[in-house]
Amino acid sequence: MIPRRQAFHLLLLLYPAHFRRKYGSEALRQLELDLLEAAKAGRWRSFIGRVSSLCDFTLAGLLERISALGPGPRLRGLKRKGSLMGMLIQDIRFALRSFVKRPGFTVVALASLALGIGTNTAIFSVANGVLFQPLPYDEPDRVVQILGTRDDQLTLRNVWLAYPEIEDIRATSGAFADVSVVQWWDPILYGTGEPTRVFSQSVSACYFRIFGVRPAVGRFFLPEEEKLGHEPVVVLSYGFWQQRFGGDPEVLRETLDLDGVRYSVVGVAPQQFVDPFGDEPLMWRSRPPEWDATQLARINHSWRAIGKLAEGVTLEQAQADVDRIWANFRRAYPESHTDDGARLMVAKDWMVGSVETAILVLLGAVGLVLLIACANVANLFLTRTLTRSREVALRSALGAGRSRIVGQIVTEVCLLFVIGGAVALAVARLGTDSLLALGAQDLPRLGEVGIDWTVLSFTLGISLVCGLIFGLAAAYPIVRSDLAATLQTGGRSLSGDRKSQRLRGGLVIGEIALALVLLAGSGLLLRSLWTLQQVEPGFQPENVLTLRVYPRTGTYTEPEEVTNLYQDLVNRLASLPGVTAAGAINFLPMRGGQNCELVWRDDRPFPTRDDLADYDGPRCLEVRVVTPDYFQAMGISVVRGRGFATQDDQAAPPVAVISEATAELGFRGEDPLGKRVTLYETRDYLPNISREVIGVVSDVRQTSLAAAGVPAIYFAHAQAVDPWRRWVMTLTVRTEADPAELADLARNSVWEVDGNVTIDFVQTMTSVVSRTVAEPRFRTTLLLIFGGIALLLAMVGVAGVVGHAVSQRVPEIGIRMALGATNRDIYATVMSQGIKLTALGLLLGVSGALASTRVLSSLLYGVPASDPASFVAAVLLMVLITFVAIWIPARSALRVDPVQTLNAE
Amino acid sequence: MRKTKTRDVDDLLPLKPALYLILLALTEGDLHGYALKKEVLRRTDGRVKLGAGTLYRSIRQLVDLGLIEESNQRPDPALDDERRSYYRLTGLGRQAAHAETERLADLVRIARASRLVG
Repeated sequence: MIPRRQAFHLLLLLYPAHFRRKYGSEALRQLELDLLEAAKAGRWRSFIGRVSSLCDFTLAGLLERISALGPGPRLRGLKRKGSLMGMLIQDIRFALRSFVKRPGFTVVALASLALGIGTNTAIFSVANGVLFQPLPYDEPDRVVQILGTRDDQLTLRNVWLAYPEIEDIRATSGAFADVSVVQWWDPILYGTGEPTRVFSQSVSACYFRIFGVRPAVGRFFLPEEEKLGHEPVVVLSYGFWQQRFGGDPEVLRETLDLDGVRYSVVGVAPQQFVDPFGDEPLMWRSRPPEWDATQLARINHSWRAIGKLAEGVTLEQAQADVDRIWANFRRAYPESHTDDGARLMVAKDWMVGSVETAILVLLGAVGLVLLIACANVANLFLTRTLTRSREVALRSALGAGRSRIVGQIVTEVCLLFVIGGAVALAVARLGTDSLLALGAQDLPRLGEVGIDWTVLSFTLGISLVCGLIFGLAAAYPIVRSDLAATLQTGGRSLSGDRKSQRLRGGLVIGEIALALVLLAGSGLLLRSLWTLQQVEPGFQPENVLTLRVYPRTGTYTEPEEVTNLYQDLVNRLASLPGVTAAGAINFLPMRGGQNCELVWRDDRPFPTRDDLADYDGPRCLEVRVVTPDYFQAMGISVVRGRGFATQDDQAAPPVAVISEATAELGFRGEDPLGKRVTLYETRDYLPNISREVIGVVSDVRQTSLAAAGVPAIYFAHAQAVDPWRRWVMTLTVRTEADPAELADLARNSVWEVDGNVTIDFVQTMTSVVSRTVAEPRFRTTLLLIFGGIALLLAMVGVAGVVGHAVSQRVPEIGIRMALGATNRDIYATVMSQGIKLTALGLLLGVSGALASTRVLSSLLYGVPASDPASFVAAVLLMVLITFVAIWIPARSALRVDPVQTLNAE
Repeated sequence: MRKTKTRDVDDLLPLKPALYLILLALTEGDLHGYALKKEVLRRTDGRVKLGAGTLYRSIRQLVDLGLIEESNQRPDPALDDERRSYYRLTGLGRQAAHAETERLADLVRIARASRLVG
């Protein structure tokens, strides 16, 4: 790592010497002040501020350099503009002619650049849309999530708050201008056509005020729609309005039948509105009747909260206020508040938090690809500069100043980079499309991703800056070499060649090192993905079809009727040809949905606060309701005792099946069978029922392959009392053949039993599981692609350098062959140089990789960031590829005809 | 003599916005680079933020064109930082700023006459 100050001094070298002498130190000091000032702003703003300061400094340097290349200081001033322009045009013409004259060179260079700049533009456009652009709210920095915490830890499982908690924040905190409660709401929309589930949200009436957005049509909620018992009203999302009503403004006269209640449509949200939780609700209703703080328990955590900070209140002040409120909670309700709290987070940070690391890693990766591509192009130019040194010397002798010649080379390189940049935009366009096709659909804020002015200026900026830096590198031998001597030696300037050979060697070492870093990184992600896919989910996902069923609101009013409906559905499906078992569960594994409840052994005293104080294990069990054959249909093995049977009905004694983790947690060293447990309900209208444990089943990964199994308890559907846990169920059907083929038949069979139920999420269990690894698979694929490109570019680089060295040594090789050197001797001589470069590059690359793959840690599953296997594989691959890259030019060395070379000499 | 001066000034127009703003900032007294940046920022209500590179490149151009020069006057040594150079307007610089202002005012007058702006 170059220290900051030295790096700035390097940047100052872009400026001509007379500028540096007079203004250099002051300009540098100013730059440091600018950077310090930028650092005071928020995270991304400070990043953008710092980058723009550096870009300004770099660009001004380039412009100064170009001005200095103009006619001498005496003429500088009024007439400078015209002649400089003229020179530039002349240089550009010259450069274009030389590109056309050497199509091979141009194609290789442009392809390298298009890949390098194009991948950067594509990933930058994603980063720009997802990370850098503010959310489309009035004051996005003041919109904050209020997230529940456990032991001060923020995890997805614990972000939920209790309704009375949020009410208390609204009533007692002065830190917020508005606070809205948010809850998922999944009504079924009845009307023309098949009843459909509409993913929606219940919110407070102030919800849209928080974002300061205007409705596209109609209005948002009125203050009186926050009172209990108000008229049922909904606001539609723009997309739903377009899709369902064709964007008809008359929609405001419509009412919708949602779960049997008629809601009036009062407005439509604006097109660019995004949900701050990253959900995509199709509509919103304001405070439903069941949101009554006096009726809801403080331990029922089923709500989320979003607020707008009051004018002039900082995030820290608001956090302190929320902490104060929780301290009051602990005093006033010691039973319900022990280790919980709340954390405030700016809406965007919460939304993009999960993908931030992955995007930054990808941005870093494509940055490396670009560096490699640039090094390659610089290498190509260096070779050309050398072969052209005679021409250059001649031009110099005819009166062209050295700066003029350097300027010409820099123009040529910059032009190539700009053309490369233009080709890259096409690559990036394809790239962003394929990114979306590759499975980036799950990224938050995807609608913002696209190629806009920011992205265009980014592309132009990196093209020019890289062009300039590497252009100067390409011109280096000219600056250093003695032009007169070159002319005398007939174009073969030995000292210049040696120096540039070193420079080229350095570039290649850098390329190999960078490519190795990328390879090691993609190797790690690949191994991590592989490990993840080897994880046993606790069930057998192969040959299982799933369908979620919603009975129509208003039907099946008695509990037995619901039991019978699902019994009929399961029996009907089980009787289909090719079906071996069928069951149902309320929350299918890996499809979201949590229901964590306090369950306690009957033979132990109920825990006191002090008991819980020293306890840091799980505090609740995931409760699942299943039909008898569910375990069999999903391939979940019963480890002890038995699973549920049809006899375990409403009349029979209540029973429960627990998971292995639960057995370990609650009955360590004991036999859980026959023991009794009770679920303590958070809702007052539900009875606390004691159940006998009759079996233990294997642990199931409930949320994703990566998340370890949580302790769970299963109840028989026929014995479950909570209507909410048994109303909507997912049917699981185990088949002998491909389950997807059974989909239509299964759907129709369900409708044969009841034509009024709504069915959604018809999918195979393998696709459910595979979706949970979609994101890691996506980033692994990308990093592999970038690694591959890097490898290819590095190979071209090595082959180029060794090839050039061979061509320079043809006379020497010819003489040695004439003197009787064997093929092996020649191979050894030629290859030794390549091997030296490779070895140095690998050494540098391994240390670089060890240092940099640490940033991947949070993306890895079951693999340490310094995993030796991944590193060894990367090194071996690199060795193999560079060997091929060295061998190709080395072979051509053997074709040297000694007689011909000696004659030529 | 006066005639040639005027022609010189006309040849300099139009001035680049950054150069013009720096000239305006110097009308009220000598300033060093950092103060110049602050003054431009203040006069434009924070809209024009000159980066270090642009700032010193502009200063270099203005000095080369003879519109500003390094000033020998220094404030109280206790308040001053020796490493900083102070700049002041030259007569030509004052004329150039004036001429550019006239030019812009003319443009605005033309625009007003065409009822584009009020």
